[in-house]
Amino acid sequence: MGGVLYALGQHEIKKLLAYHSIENIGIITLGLGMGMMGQAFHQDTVAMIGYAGALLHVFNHAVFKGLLFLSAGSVIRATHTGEIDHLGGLLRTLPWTGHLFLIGSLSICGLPFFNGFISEWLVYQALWGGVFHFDILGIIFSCLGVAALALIGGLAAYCFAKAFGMIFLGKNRSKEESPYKESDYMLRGPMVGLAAICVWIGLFPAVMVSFSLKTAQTVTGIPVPAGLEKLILNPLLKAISVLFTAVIIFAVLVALRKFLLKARPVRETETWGCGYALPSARMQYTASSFAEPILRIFRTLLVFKVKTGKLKKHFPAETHLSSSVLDVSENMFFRPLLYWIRELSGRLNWIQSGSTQRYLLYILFFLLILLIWKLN
Amino acid sequence: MGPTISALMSILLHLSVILVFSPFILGVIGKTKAFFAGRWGPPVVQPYYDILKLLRKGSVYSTMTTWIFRAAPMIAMAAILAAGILMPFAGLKAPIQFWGDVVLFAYLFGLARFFMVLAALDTGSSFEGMGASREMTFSCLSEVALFLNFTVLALISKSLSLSGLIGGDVSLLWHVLGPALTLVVISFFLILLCENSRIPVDDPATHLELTMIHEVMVLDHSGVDFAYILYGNAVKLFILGSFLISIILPFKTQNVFMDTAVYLSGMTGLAVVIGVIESAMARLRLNRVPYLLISAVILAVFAFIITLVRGGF
Repeated sequence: MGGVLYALGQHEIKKLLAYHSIENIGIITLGLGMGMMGQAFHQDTVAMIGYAGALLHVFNHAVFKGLLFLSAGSVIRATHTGEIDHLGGLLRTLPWTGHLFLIGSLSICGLPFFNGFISEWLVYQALWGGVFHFDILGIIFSCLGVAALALIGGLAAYCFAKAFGMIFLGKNRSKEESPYKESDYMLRGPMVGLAAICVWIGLFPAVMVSFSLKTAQTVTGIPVPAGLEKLILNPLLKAISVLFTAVIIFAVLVALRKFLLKARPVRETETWGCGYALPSARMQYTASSFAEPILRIFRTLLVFKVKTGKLKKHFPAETHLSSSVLDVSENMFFRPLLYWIRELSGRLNWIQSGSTQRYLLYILFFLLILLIWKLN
Repeated sequence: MGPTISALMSILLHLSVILVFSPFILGVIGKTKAFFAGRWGPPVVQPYYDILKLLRKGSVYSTMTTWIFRAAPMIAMAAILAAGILMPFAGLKAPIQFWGDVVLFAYLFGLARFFMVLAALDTGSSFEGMGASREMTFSCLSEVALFLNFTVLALISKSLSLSGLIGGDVSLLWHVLGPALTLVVISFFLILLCENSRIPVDDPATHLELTMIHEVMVLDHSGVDFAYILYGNAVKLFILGSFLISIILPFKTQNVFMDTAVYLSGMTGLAVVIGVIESAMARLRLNRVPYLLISAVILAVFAFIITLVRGGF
């Protein structure tokens, strides 16, 4: 869960995706944890659903994260920047990349129609299985898991609404014109394939669910309880039938809208800026502002760095404000650790003088020590 | 063919009930607020007029927008209606129900919200960006509370479908687990206020202040699209409201008309309560809203503890 908060604080596209992996691993470990608790409580059904959910999420994560990284790469290749706050409106110039990124985002948020939904569904089932079948401690843990997964889901949606919205929608924040070149077929091909897998698992989950159940069986050695596959798949199929109903309703709404708008005036103008006549691209909401409210709520867990210019005089001419979220583990653990290692190695630098004779001497000493040690 | 056609018929019936009754709730809220303000107020059917009027209008689109802006209201409304299929109403059984449909229910709302937020960002307006950002913030918290409430109800009713959660013998459970259910009801009521952007989370009446959430997100929508958005919101309020009413008023007589009457009066009562709250309270300061939602989460946790202790687990 920490991962997704940091991801929200990140404004560089690939870093954001990388932090987001932590959150997905969290979902996977939730599934694994339910599997192990299921084993401990001798509830094979719960255990198998948990393991299968975790395995399926591993696969799904590979697919949609791969898709997202590839499309992020495509964005960086076209625009030569990965700073989300510098981008915007790319859906028009990079339609393929944009729509593929959208599919990846919807999948990673676990929204229905896509594969993330299926594996998160399995993990939820395992957690609620725990609520029904474990003892009191197990129930409490399962309930905590449900809360965590719900929060993760909400935050993931937040994060990817930010990423997709800021990169691909609105207007470009740095240049007026953006004559970017879309990636060619060789780059698009793999992304389309991955996106197709996302949708395929999302709408026809039977194959992958039974596959991950079998894998779970092989790994853990617990036989899949009879009828479990049906127990999982029947609700899923009903869920998908609801989704198809939603598609039909959508089609009806589209047709109604088309019919109603046929005889009516449809105009295109600038975005309504509450009367302001000269909107510019830099006045758009940025990724940092978008993520600010939620980060403020979790401010005890995060370290902010805000730089701001002081306002002088009555009509301040120039000021600036920049904020960033610091990674606690990076800045307070790894940085000092690496710093110490570097310092220490610096102190020992004299050993490595660069003369071959000296190195030969070292080897001789080393061999001598080995010899003495062996003789003892 | 027989069962399929009857299933389709029941889905259609369900959807038409939802569509016919949902704007009524908004009308009652409006009337209550007018009463408290000492006005006569618009008629109860005013929301129907509003939607019909908007459906007959043309649209204006920003040059900045893409297809997402145009499709989002329809996607949102379709998702909300599909979620409605899972919800039973007084005498009407849910046409489709299955183990775990609560997840689908919550995630369909999530899908609707995701696309509305994207549509808001699509315009590139900073007003709408702000609204979108706030909407996402509060929904993160309310989703946690929602899932915790579902868990408590699941624990109580031993079921994981919406119909099971509220369709069983809730009236019997009120004797045993009354305190827990009370907490669930309060917590769910807070979620309902937040999800439907009512006071004290959001003020649906303001339109161009920097304080609002939902209204500002749809600033650029007009005509048919705006009608869909309004209608979708009314449907959402109706669905969540009837979930709440089914817990509060679980009386089941064998008489369909009696059930329906009880249910409808319950819904009207709920609308009046919302109206009273909106008349009596001001909107909370924005940085106070998370506390409200966190208290919804905490109430759900207390309900969970009471259930564990009293339920003999």
